[in-house]
Order: sequence, then C-alpha cells, then structure tokens
Amino acid sequence: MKKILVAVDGSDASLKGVKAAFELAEPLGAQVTLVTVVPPIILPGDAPWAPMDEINRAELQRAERVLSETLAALERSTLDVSTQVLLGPIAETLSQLAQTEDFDLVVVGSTGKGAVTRVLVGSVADRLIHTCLKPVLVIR
Amino acid sequence: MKTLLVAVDGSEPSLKGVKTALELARGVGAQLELVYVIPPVLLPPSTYAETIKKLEEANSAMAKEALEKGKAIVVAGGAQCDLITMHGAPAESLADLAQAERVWGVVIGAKGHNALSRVLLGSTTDRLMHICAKPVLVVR
Repeated sequence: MKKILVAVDGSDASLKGVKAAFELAEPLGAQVTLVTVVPPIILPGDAPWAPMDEINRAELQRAERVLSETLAALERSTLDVSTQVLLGPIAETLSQLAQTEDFDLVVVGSTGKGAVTRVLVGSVADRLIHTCLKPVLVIR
Repeated sequence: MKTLLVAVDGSEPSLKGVKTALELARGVGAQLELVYVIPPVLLPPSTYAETIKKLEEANSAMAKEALEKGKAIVVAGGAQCDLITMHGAPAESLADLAQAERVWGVVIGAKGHNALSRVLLGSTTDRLMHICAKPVLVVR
C-alpha cells in the first residue's frame, strides 16, 4: 500500500480521516494525497444571469482554503503529502481518481459537511463504497 | 498498531478482504483476527431436535471451512492470525467485537454470499458501516 487518497471537506470526520490516513501512511511509507472535490452547482434554467465563473472560482478558492486549514490543523510530519482540488460529483470524482491514478486505499470520514447529524453515514461515504473499486476506509 | 478484524464468510470478496487486510497488517505491524459469524436460524417450534443439531453441525462446518480458507491466505503470506467464530446477527456481532480495546478497525468484503450479484453492496457491510464505532475498510 503505497498510495493513499483522503477525501477532505473540512468536517470533523474528514479531519479524523486524515489523521487515520497519516497513522497508516507512516509505517507503510505511503504517499498521501488530500483531495477536496467541489460539487457542480445546479441552478434553475431561468437563471442565465448567474455569474457561474465567479461562483466556481470562489468555490475552488474555498476548497484550497479547506485543504490548507486541514494541513495546518495537523502536526507536522515527515510524510509525502500532496493536495488536489477537483470539480465534479463528489463520490464519482473520488472513485474515478482512485482508479485512474491507481490508489491503494481511499479514506473518507463517515459524515461530512452535508450530513444531517442524525444520519450515521454521509451520502458521499455511502456512495463511495458503492462506486469505488479500490478499498475504502470509512472513519467515524 | 493493534488488531484488525476481518469478516470472513468464505465468499470471493471476503477472501479479497483477507488479502487486503494482510497487506495492511504487514505494512503497519497489526495482528489479524478472522471472524465468522453464524447467523441465528429461525425454525418453527415443531422442528425435530435432530434437524436442529444437523443444521448446527452444518453451520459449524461452514464456519470452519471459511476460516481455514482465510487462514491459508494469511499463512501463505508468511503471517499469522487468530480465528473466531461467533453466533448472532452478523453486522451487530462484528460491531460488538470491534468495541474491544485491542481492535483498530474491521475489514469486510463489499458483499458476501447472500448478496445477489446485481446488488452492489451486501447488507452486512452496509449495516456494519452504519453501526460500527471503529473504522471500517470495505474491499471490493
């Protein structure tokens, strides 16, 4: 196991996921990639005036900020860590990345930002274990 | 690092789970415990004691066979593992066992014997994801 992909959205569960990934990566000597996916924003068809470019740009900037905040929240480590921001449907984009870049493990927090608190497993984690062909580690 | 539980029912995905768990355990220096859960069988009260006995024997034999299959993979990889047979509802029993201090997480195949081939995720795996307090690694 040399390549670990971690889904990051800035939630507590995702931070736990990153910590767990680091915990595994250290003895494995694995490379860790933190990814934040920005889901596409769907607006009603009668809103052609929406400044989509601006919205997307802001969202991508927010994603970059989430990643740097996550890294800042962790203790400095000697691990090989890289970050990436992608645009697309969250679970599908993660599955695809895991496949195309041949990751050995995908780590995801059980509930992200979007989950209602009483829901035990978030929709992204749930969708990911249904679609991802690589091993998925769900951290609560 | 501590112990990884591996849910084994003898099915192809569960044996793939053993392989992934073995790889992970060797990398991080964890212990492996293979677990087979015999689900309760509901029988009408009029069932002959002899029939129940035969059924229990068949279940135990199946458990043993599945665990031995898993163990063979671990041993072939030059590692060791403990074998555990439990009785009860599969997901609940695994989640209970995972509560133990020594357990880091549970590894489980995306689907077991009972899942129809068109079902993408087995019911035990899905249930475990929702109730397990420890990390769950789903292997497809």
